[in-house]
Amino acid sequence: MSEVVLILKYKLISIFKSALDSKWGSVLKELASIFVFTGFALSTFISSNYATAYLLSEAKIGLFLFHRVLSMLLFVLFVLVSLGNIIVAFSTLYKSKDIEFFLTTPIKPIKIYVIKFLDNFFYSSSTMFIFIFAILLGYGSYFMKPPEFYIFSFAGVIVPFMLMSASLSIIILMLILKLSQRFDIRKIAVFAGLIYALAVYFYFKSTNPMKLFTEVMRYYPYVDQYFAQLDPSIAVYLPNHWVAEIFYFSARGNSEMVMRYFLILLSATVGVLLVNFGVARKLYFDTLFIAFDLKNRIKKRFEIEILSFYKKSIFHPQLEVFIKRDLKTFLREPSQWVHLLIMLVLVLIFIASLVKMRLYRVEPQILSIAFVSIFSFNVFLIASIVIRFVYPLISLEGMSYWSVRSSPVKLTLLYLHKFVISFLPVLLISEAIAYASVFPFGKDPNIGILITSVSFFVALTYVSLGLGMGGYFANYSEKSPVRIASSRGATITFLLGLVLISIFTGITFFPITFYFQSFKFNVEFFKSAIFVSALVSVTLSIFFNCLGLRSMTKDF
Amino acid sequence: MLQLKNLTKKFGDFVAVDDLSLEVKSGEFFGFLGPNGAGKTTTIKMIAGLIKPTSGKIFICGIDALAEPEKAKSFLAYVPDQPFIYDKLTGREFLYFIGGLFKMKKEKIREKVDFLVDHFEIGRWIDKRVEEYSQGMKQRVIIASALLHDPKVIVIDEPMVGLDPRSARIVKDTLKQKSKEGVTIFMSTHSLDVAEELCDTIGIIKDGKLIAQFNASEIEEFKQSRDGKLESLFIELTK
Repeated sequence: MSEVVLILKYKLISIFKSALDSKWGSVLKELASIFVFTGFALSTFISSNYATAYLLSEAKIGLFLFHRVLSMLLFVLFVLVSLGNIIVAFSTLYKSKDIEFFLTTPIKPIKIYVIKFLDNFFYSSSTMFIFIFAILLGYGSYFMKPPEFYIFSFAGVIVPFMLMSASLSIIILMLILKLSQRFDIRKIAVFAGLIYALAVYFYFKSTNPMKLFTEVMRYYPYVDQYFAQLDPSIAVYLPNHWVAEIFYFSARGNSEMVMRYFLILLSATVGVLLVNFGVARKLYFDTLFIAFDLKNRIKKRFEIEILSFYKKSIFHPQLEVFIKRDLKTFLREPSQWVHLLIMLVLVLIFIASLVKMRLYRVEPQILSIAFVSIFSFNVFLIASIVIRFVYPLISLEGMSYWSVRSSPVKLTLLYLHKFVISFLPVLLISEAIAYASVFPFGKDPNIGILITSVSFFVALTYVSLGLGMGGYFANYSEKSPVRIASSRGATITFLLGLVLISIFTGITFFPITFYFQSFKFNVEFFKSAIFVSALVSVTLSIFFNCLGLRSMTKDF
Repeated sequence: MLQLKNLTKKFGDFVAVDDLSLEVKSGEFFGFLGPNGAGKTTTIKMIAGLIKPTSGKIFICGIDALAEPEKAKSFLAYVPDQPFIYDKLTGREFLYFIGGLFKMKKEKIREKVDFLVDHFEIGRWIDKRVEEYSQGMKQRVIIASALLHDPKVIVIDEPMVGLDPRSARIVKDTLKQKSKEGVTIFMSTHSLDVAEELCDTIGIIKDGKLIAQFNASEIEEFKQSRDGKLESLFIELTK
């Protein structure tokens, strides 16, 4: 164990040394990060507190429904942490530079695994911890909980919950790698992605949020009661359900039930961790060599003829080679296309659920909440896609950037190319979601015009944000797009993206609420919302694109 | 052909290149020597457009490289000290990529690639992804990419790193041949043997300043007056 402690100690020293860099530029960056993180935590705390108060005191949805919504959010969190961990874990546990060094030392592979597992867990979940802790504070302060509640909830509930998700994902990763000896890894990865997508689909199909809402509301005003009979039978086996139950019974002051679900959660976490280390003891060493040799075992390579460099093209020669280079390198990097595929499947599931959803005979207040929830989730999806795929674009020029910089290329052309190849797909996704978002509101054309117009500006703003900040925090020496997308710069960008969600949601909230409450279409309200979105979007886009372009000309 | 006028680069308080002025004529092979951290790579990166000078001017084929960078770079080829190429592209794709950046016609690229692959003995490796290459193979592909668009000026940083003796010979012969054809070559190297064998002129840089510049006859003269080794001259000047 002493080796593990020694390595962890030096890892921490290296992190603190780089964080405590005394250069002015670094100090300013640190201060800016602290400012953004604090602002983000504060706004998350306020939003969480306000949302809890609004749902329980204004909308009066009751404790049961509130915690079932929480359970659904926790399910999404579980899946996101798990997916994030699979992809980041491949970089951290198999591709990081120190692995090869550790293998030359007399440290047992399982110890290397423990170090890398902890590194991976804290690396990919650190922002999530801040986010969740701020939510917890907002939630707890509504119920006026004592300080020990936060310690217990965070360390005793949330961390084990996320550890379980992370462990599960790494077990899956090791199994995928092991199976890749027999089957094409690309097929296994697609299969695993489909299983995740199906799990999300069946979870929401079985929980059926709309039905649950209608059923519970039939008992109004006695909606704080425990309606366990409405839960699908599968729910009791899911960790998100245990966590939601802990909070529900804690809100109702039933410590016996809190303890019961806490013990279930804790035992399950310990169990999954033991399985995780057991599987690692058996498979990690083997799968390390499988991962090292992965690229040599992919025999049949998928090539798209039109992307061939040898083919003539209608584009300007420099633009042509940029497009072909970027698409080829994207398609040849499994962590890129697999992640995109998973995200697209999730977007499709979301679109399919929206198209089926109908909000008839619902109170205007609830309609407003539904609109805000759907719209903010749309923007959240766009923000996530941008952070994962647009933010790393400039860094991905990599150490080979010398070849572009020493060539007769205008960097504006390169930046423009990066902007266009990001903006077009993001706009397409954004508009598709926006179009589907009108279905729950009876395909109302007025809502349609508002949401599709604002979505255009959302796509423009987020792509500019991702590209601009990606340039500002560019790290050309990092090869993995996943690690770039989970770096500190990406985290700050994501937090700024979350602030933008509240800005765009705020802009649409007033005309929509007025519309739902009065059933009158106030064209001026709608026009103003679109105008303000355009103004915010164009201003921010100019700023971020200038930042990105300037960053590309920095010394290399 | 290549002219540096009062070139200075500061990184904060540290002056990496200090008021450097020199001129390399058409067809001249210029060896740029200096101890570690003297400012060789910084100078080369400024010529290649990777680093912006704090002050001073760079002229490539008479074109102000800071005022008209794209025009100046169209005459230039740069070979970095570390052979970084896109891992996921094949060597051939990388050469086509570079050809595209220099706006070459596809037919011309094809013709040149076939010649260069053969010339540098890259063989079947050219259609394998760069992630499978050795350091030397990457270096060969990068040198091939530098010659693709028939540059008038080649700026090359430590060209022999990672090359086996046979490849090094091919590179040396090619560079010498290019120089004879009128191409200006500005080469940074730590290898005094290589510099002595190839260069018409040698410039020595120390602490960012050009401390000495000799042509072939001056080097010979200096060597004769000492122990007959360029090494002694270098050590004496850079101590």
